[in-house]
Amino acid sequence: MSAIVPADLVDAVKERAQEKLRDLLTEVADRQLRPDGTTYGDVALSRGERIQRFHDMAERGVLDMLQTVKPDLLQRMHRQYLRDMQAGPFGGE
Amino acid sequence: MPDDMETISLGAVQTIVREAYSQHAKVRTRARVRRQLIIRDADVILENLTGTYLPPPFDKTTLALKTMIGETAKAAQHYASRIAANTPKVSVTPKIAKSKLSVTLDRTSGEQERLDDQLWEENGGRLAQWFAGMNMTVTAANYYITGVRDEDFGLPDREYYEDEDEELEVLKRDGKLTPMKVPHPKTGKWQYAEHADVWRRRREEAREHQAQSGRALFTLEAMPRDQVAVGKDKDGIKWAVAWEEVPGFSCAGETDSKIAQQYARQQGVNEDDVGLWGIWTDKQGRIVGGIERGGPTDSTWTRPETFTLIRFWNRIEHVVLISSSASVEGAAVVYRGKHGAKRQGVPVCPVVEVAMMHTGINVAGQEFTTPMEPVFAYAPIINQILVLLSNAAAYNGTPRWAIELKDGTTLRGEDGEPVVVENGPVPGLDPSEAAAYPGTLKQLTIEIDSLMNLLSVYMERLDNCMPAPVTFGQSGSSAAAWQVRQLTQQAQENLRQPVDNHAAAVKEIIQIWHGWMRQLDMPVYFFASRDGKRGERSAASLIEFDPKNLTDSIQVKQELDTPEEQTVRIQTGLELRSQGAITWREFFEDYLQVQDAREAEIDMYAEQVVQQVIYGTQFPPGSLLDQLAKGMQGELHYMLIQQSDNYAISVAEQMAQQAQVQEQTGIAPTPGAGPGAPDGSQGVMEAAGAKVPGMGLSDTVQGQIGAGAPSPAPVGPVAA
Repeated sequence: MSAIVPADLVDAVKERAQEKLRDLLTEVADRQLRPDGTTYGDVALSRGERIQRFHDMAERGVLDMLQTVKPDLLQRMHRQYLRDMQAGPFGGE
Repeated sequence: MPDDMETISLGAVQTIVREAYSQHAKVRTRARVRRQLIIRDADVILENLTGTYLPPPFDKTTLALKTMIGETAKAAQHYASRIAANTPKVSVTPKIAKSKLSVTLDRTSGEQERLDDQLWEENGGRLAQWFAGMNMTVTAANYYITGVRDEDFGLPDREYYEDEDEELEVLKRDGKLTPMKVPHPKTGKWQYAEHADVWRRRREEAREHQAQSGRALFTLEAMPRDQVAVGKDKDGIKWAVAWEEVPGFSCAGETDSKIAQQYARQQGVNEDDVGLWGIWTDKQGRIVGGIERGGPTDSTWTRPETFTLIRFWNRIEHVVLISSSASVEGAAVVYRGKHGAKRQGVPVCPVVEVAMMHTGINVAGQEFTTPMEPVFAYAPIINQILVLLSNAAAYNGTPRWAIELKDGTTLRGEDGEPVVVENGPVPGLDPSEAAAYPGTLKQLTIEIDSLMNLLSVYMERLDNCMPAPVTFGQSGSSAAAWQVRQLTQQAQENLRQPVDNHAAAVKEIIQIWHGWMRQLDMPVYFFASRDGKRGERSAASLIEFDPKNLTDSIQVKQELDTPEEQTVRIQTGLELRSQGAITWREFFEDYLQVQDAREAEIDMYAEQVVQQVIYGTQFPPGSLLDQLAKGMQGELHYMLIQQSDNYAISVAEQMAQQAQVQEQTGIAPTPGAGPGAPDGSQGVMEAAGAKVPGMGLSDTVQGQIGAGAPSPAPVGPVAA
């Protein structure tokens, strides 16, 4: 790019690049979509698996990091964990 | 001038048509001969002119082939292709008082360029250009005829309501009517009309639908010189006449014949009967019309196999006439109206001339010339020699014997007359017989040496007139690249004028289209034309352009490049660019010659940024594009975290892992940098531009201030 770059050109480049990346990622995501509508990692876990996963993540410090990365997800996982723990052995799902 | 006033009398139109047709007789004959030399249709050869004449008694033979050489077709196809190979490109030249082009003007100019290119495309310009190429090659000139597809651009008319209309009250309540009565444009009657805003919206929607369905606004035809005659003054073409033959049945009633219907309307026939009318000629060959069924039994009216459809334009009006076959006499008016063509605000004739080459004189029939002239000159001579040679071969291949006595005389009977051996056995044919004749058998032959000598002379001359072999891509492999380039360019130079003339004609046509579009009181919708740099399946977005913003300050360029020359030009541009002698914009404009250089530049940088985000190896750190890419990367990262829970968990997992490793090795992380993203290339917090106090710090004070002294800034470089 030459030394003097018009601001509008930079904006346009940014906009175009965002558009391209968004399209690219959407396409990648679309291709990962399975016939049942789930994507990789989306497979529904059982209650026990969820509890185990939550514990595992807490032990490894992943939940601490998630507090920073995506707090609302952590809250949702936490609520789900509480629901799972409170549910009886034969139901509650 | 009042709308209904005629600018020229019918008599004057008929006189011009008659005079023009008669003056054009030689041009028509010449064009006919040339087409036969190219198409070589054996059924309709003009023997004297194409060189296929056989003198009597040889004209009775069926063995002699009336040969026509194929070089004419080869040369004509070559020139026609070269002229039409490259599409014309429009570039807008904004005229402003300031030295710097504003962004809006630059963008509007770019949009108009795409609009103009698209207009050329969707109005059939590409196909017409191929026709024009052949017309110019063969007849030395082409005429483009353009018009508006519909008088009202196919848009809905305004609705007017009678007082007793039931829906009047409802419409009035909904605000869809004019507050007061307005005069009807045709009847002058005062009526409630559709509200202007509602009408405009309907028209806009209709126009958008037209654009989506690819309906063209204008028509464009390319006609050869022998079908068009023009009259000129200092301002250019002042009138033009075009004639073409149409099949007789296309003027029959009840066949939805537009010609017959218009003729009926012209005759004042009731609209209900218009579709029933057909056109005939009477005993004197004059055009007459009437209802197809129910004519008198002894009618002398006939329908010829073909009619001649004549179209006349001056700068204001368009008149369509029809006459009987191969004649313009007694032509009757089918349609008459104003065409409204204007160029830069001045009324013009919507017929644009494209000369192959101007001769510089204005004598009827000698105004233009073509590089094909010498080929057309030598081809009939060569044809004639070959026809005679073919005849000689046929003659010589058929046994005709004479018996020559020793003294040189012929064998004579008792009556002293020469003996003619008729129906007798061919001497020596039967091996059991030995016929004795007092002399030597001589075959009668035609001498061909002189013809062969002549043929080689003319063939050599024809070879010299043919397009240079280098333009066919020959000799490219054995010569040096620069030499081939030079040879190609030199060989192409005689096509420079036709290509320039064509570009100038396209400019005129587009300016006429601008004039018509300015009469539209609404935006023009169009899909941007493709210039080949995108994939065939890539989407083209609908663009809206207000005709008020159209400028006639345009340039139309058409290149003469062969693919080889294009490659060389692009290579040169890349070299100059790599040496910093030109900017990317200049490279795209002048060397890659894309339609919109600004768009191309944006596209290039955007692609580089995308590459940087994905692979991260494109730009030197700290460069503007690097910063831009980092910002994008951060935004993308943040977007993915927001959109995908799995991605967020994956990021958190990586951060946790890295934190553990750092803890184990005792290395304090750089404050604010945070652990890496899943690909390990970028700190998520840094990339996301997030500031979280304490994030990524070691959980011991020693760890925080020990090995790695914290930098003054709490976070790493924040994305731009």
